[in-house]
Amino acid sequence: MKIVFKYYIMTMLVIGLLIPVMTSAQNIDRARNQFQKEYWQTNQVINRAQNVIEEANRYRHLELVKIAIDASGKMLVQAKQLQEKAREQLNATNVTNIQIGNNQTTRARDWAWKSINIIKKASDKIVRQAEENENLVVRQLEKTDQLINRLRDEFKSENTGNRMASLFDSARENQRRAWELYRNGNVRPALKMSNQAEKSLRKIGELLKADNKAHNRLRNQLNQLEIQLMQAGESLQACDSDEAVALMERAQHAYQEACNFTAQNQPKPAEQAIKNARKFMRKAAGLCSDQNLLENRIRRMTREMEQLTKEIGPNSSPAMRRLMEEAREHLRKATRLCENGNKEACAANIKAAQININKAKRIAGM
Amino acid sequence: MRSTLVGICGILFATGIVVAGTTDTKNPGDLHFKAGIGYDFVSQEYFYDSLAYEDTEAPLTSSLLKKEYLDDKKGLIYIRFDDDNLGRRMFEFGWEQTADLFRIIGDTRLTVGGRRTSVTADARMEIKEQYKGEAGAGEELEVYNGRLSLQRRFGNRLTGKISAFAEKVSFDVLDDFVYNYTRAGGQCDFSLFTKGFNSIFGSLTIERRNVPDSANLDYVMIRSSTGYMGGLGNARLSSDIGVETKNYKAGQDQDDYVLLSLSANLRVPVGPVYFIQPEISIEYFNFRSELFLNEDYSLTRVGLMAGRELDFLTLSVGPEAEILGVKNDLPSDDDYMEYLLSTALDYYSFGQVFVMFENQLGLRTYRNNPEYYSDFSFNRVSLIGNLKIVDGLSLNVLLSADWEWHSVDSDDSRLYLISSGLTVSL
Repeated sequence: MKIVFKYYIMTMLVIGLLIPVMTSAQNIDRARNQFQKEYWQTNQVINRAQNVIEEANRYRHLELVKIAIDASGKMLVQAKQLQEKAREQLNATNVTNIQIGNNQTTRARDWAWKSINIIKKASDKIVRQAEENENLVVRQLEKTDQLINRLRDEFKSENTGNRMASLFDSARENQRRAWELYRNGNVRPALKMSNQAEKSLRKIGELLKADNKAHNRLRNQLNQLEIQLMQAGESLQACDSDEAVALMERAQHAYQEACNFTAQNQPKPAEQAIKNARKFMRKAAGLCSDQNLLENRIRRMTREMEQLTKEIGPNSSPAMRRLMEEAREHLRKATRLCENGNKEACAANIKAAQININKAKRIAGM
Repeated sequence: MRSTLVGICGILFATGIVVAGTTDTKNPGDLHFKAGIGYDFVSQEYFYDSLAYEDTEAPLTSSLLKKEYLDDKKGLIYIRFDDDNLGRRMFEFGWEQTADLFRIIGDTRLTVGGRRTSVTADARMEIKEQYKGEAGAGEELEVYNGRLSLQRRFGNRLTGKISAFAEKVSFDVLDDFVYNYTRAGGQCDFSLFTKGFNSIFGSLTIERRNVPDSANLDYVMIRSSTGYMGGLGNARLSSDIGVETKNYKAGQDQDDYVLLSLSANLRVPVGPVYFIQPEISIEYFNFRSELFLNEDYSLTRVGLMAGRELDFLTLSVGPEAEILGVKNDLPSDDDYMEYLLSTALDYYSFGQVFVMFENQLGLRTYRNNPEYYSDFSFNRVSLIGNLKIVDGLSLNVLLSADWEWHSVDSDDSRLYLISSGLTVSL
């Protein structure tokens, strides 16, 4: 029994001693596995950094990339040295050494990432400059060129004159400069310059369209005005107002001015001249309207009577004086009736006054 | 070289005058002279987080600091003969001169034929020569390009056009990045006018570029696009869709891509003077290779402007957003979202004053907290102006400035563009 107990105690002691040892060995294995996993990940990043440097060598002719490659290379050396040190701990049998290796491989990976990023950043500055890469710049330049060609065609097909030529020329000049900047490798300023040129060309395009519309509108207005002037001229032939004739001449002159301004592509003064022509034409037509015609006749007959009174003098006969007095009374009535808009009665009184004046003239032997 | 150039210029100049003088002496308006002064300035300043590069700090930082690409005060003279003021038969010769270089520009266009069928030949040349100091790479160049087009109308609504074009660019001093090249290709276009002057248009272009010093940069490009411009209800729609493919001669499909693009802009009137203007543009680059610089990406821009049109003035304001998404196995450093508020003012008064002003105030945030990029706010200002001071005397101005304020101060950057000219035209 004692022997059995002795074996039992010994077995328990052995187990008691083995369990911590076995547990410790499992922990070491787990840590080593984790370390090895980290190590291989770092190896992948180092390989990637190596590839990045090799690819970037294609751009080594660019000063900035060259500097970045050199810096990146130094960082990669650091990474490799640390990784090499970490490799020595791959088969370590104690946790401390495994932790040292783990720390080394993590730092090595950081250096490898820095090595990648420094080249990426430098090449972005040169090749892509953040979001602008060479392809985008060329496309922008060509897009602006196409716009220039299209606008040139519009300049060719429409009579736009020189009003926008100077705008167009300066946009072309900026585009030419954008190409020059691009050809010298200055992509970002080139993109900016070409964008500005495109913006002003698009605005010129809009203005050209608006201008053509305005030109067509002016042409239509001039055509209408021409017809109106002809019609007004015909109706004025029946009107014996000198003032109206003078106004029609001014209207014709303003129309001619409007034609000239339109031909010179000066819409604002052309529109003003059209307005003036219409204003003069309206005034002339107004003078020759029925109402004005009657008022004109009253004024003219009043002048005629004054002239006749002067010519006859104090030796006029009573019949003649009566006729003249009656004529004056008819004209006074006509004036009042015209003012009240009673054109027919006004015209009748004018006619009566005219008969009296004619009779008076006959008596006076005139 | 210089004397040859001066000789060529002299011949061109004399030819211009002779052609102008003998073709139509009764119409002096066909001959235009322009002379003036100008100032061009392009400068970019950007900085780097130098701490990241330890001992490489000095050269890297200095490479990334301020750079002035252009700082020219210039005088210019242009002579143009345009026999009917319609640009059908046009010849232009220009000379621009700064303190250390001169630039010669020649431009001609000849159109024959009538309204139904016409043939147009365009030719352009530019020579830039530095006569003081030693010219660096890319600073002296010669550019020649030409285009021959046949245009034909089919009825009143359909127009077709086929063109052949070529360009040659050569530099006196080359480096690995500044290279000579030639481009040549053909293009077919059509435009169809529907009722109400709406237009449907399309284009197909094939182009080949040849870079003698680097076969890897040779490519063949095919581009096709179609679009619509016109009414949509009581609104005005401008839209196009395109596909482009570029195939470089370099092996492993390096840099080869297919690009799909879409853009649309709708202007909807709201009452007699107000309008709203939604717009969208999408570009998707699909690269064939798996190289690290050839990552597929999409760039999307959306905006909604609202504005008011007065007689000569258009005012508009509205938000815009831009999203860049890069296709990558890992979260990409480049992915960003940009939000901005855009304000625009356009003023135009019958050839006297032309002003386009735009201000964009916004914020860009990178999605994946990249180690080397930093979020930033920005202000982008642009002004394009043309002022007719008196008859024949006009001032042209282009100003553009971008300021970026980064969360990492040392990443701040600025870009300035100035282009101006005061010219007298006769």
